[in-house]
Amino acid sequence: MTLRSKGRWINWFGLLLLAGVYVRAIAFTPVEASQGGAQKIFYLHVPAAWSTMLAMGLVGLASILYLLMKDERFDRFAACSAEVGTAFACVMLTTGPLWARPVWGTWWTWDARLTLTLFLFFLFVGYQLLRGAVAEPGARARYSAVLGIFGLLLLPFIHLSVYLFRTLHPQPIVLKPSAPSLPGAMLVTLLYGFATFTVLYVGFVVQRYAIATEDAHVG
Amino acid sequence: MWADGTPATGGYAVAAYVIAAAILLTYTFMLYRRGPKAP
Repeated sequence: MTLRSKGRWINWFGLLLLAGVYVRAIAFTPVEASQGGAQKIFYLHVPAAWSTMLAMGLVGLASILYLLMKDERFDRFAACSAEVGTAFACVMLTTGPLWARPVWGTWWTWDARLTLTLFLFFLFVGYQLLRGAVAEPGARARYSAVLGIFGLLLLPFIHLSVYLFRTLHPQPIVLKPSAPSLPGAMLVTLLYGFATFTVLYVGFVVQRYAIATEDAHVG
Repeated sequence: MWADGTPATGGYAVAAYVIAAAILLTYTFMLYRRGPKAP
């Protein structure tokens, strides 16, 4: 089985799991009393944010490894992870405002968490524009590695922004020093969502990496 | 507002679920159809 086929299978498995998240979130997870049905966006929005951070974090780590070892596979992986991360960022940035409108009374607010997250999205897009604009492979890999490392540096600020600044965005309820503050059924659905989006990330990246490897051999 | 006092906000969740599925499925089919670039 080729790498691309493996990626496709993981991708389809991830989509199957995603269908399970939908069923579990809609039919088997209680409705939150003060927010109503809109709170169920949580089970997509937070895992999508997790996958975005995972993708950008790995772009940064692969970029550091590329600069240290000059192995083009790290550069190729970083490029693939950035593209996949952009897809997840689109999910995060569309589901967030749809949740914010009924709960906060506004689609968007320029507070630290939201603004930094939007900046991360622009960084993802800029990363890919940069890769498209530089023709020489060595220079392209070096320039984009530097940008990828800046993305990695942004991640702690995004995570801590809800502690450092006054913001409408809630503080973490799972990734925090104390125990998760969420009822059991909701926590299980959320953790299932995390697992699902991680599988989707792996499936997308494996496929994208296989395509990039084919491209490298052709070009 | 539902009879039990829960806000009727499910429409936003439906929109979010549809959009998220659309984005992930679109990306899946983009990868599915993408071949190696021309030499």
